[in-house]
Amino acid sequence: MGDRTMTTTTTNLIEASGLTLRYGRKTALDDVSFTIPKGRVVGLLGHNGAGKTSLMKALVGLMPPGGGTVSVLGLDPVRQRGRLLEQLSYIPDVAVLPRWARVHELIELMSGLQPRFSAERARALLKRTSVGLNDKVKSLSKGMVVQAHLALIAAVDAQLMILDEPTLGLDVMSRKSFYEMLIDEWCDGERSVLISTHQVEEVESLLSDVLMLDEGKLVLNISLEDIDSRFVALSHDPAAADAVAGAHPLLRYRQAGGRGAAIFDGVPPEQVSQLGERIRPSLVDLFMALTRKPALQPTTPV
Amino acid sequence: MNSRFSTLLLREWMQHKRGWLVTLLAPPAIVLAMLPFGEVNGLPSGAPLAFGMAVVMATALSLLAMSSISTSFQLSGLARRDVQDRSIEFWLSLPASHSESIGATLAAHLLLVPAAILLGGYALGFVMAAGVAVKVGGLAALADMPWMQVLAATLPVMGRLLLGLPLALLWLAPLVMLLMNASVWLKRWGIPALVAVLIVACAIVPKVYGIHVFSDALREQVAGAGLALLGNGDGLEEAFRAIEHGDSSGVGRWVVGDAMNALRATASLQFFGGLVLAAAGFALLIVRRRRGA
Repeated sequence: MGDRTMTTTTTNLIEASGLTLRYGRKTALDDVSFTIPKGRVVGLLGHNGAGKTSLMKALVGLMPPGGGTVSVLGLDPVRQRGRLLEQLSYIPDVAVLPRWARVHELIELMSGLQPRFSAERARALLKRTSVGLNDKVKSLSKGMVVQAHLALIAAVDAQLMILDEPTLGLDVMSRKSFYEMLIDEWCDGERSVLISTHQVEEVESLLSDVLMLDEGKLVLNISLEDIDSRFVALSHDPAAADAVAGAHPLLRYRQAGGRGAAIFDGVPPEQVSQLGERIRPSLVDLFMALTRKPALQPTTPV
Repeated sequence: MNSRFSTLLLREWMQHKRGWLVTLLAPPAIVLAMLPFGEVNGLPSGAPLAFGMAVVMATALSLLAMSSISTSFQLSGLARRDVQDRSIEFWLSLPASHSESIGATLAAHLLLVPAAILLGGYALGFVMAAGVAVKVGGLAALADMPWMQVLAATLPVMGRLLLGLPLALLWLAPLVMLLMNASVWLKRWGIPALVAVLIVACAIVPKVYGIHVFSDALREQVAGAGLALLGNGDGLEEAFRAIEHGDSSGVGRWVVGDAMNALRATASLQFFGGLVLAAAGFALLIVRRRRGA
């Protein structure tokens, strides 16, 4: 992904170069460049206010770039928004389906508005859920609304799905159902998904790649396979904490059982490596390491 | 009409059909239900044709008036409804343009529904006329009613009103846009702010500074809308009276003359100035919707 892998425009579904987004004087996204090729499931991670939603809005033409360029499915999202939205599936937020509508009415409306929408497929997908065709959106729970929304947009024959924190505020069961449906009904190795979420642990197993934003800057753009080769986590005895800290890891934290751990960008010096054993860094720890604000979180672990 | 626009119109129907049907059906249903217990006054007696025409036209026009009043109250909310129920994000995620989306809402609420209510009210007018006739004169009065003559006299007037609706809407378009923009840009302060501005511009400024530009412009727009819908009401009354005396050509002449007057009135700076303002207002609504707000 990104600078690391595919560079041909034909295989990249999204290409952003030097993308900058501003709300008045505030910069929401600062000089961000990345590409997303076919068949990837990309997690967009970042704290609140990191620029995730702004980036997604820019990708679907709802926010014009303040600098740089962005192309989605080979189209300019702002100038060719109509054509673009015909070719991608997008869930902007949790529970935004119109509350007055019945599910079958939404299918009818989507059929008329979205040329690549299959009403038959939407009905088949809805059968997998507890949502009835005659149910009114306002009578559904938040989890059911999200299931219905996913069923609707998964019935669009698109190459790219963009999901902006689609499971925010949902309980574990609803989140699990959502991700199961996403994997079963959408991810086929050809189509790509860009999903922003705070539930890093839950999506880690789904993802092929990760984009991490921190205060509008892209701090990480990597595939999950490459995380293991680039980042090293070292589990060590508390007694070795000072020596490990001397090697300037990205993050130090305490593990269950009282052992310490540290994440390094690259292989730590040999004498430090010998102080502990190498473990796989989790995405959550990496996220913390790359986006942690010491000023906001003064109680540094370890 | 493209399929997206017609789907957006369908959305309006799905969302508002209950209110529209109540507006159309409830008043005649209430009147009919109350007929057995009430009295009927003020209708021409002993003149079934005049009686029929009066009831049919009164029903159609009353329902149109009620629907218009109801729409005018809804307009400010209509401008912000998708933002208020948070569904704007859903609509913006679909490939309908902003102009199509706003245009469909305006077309449905300001043109198609009033036209449908007018036609529905016209049809219900015959039911009302039958009910009132039975109430006043029993079943014999119903049998005496010259239904075809009532139809022949009132149908051209309906045609005139249907032509007048879009013209009246164009005259009122700048005011509609002003109201909707006040609501979407200033949110809950929009209507109070608009009322304050209108009071200052149309009441205080003319009195204090002697400047009547705003009040005159507003008055002319409203007068233009009235002329567009039904210009010469007295002429119509005369034409109806003439039918009772055997001259049925008067209604046709009135329709043509009144329609021509309405069309001629549009060839004015006032009308086109209003359209320019309305277009600017429409553009501002698009800007606001593009921002998802």
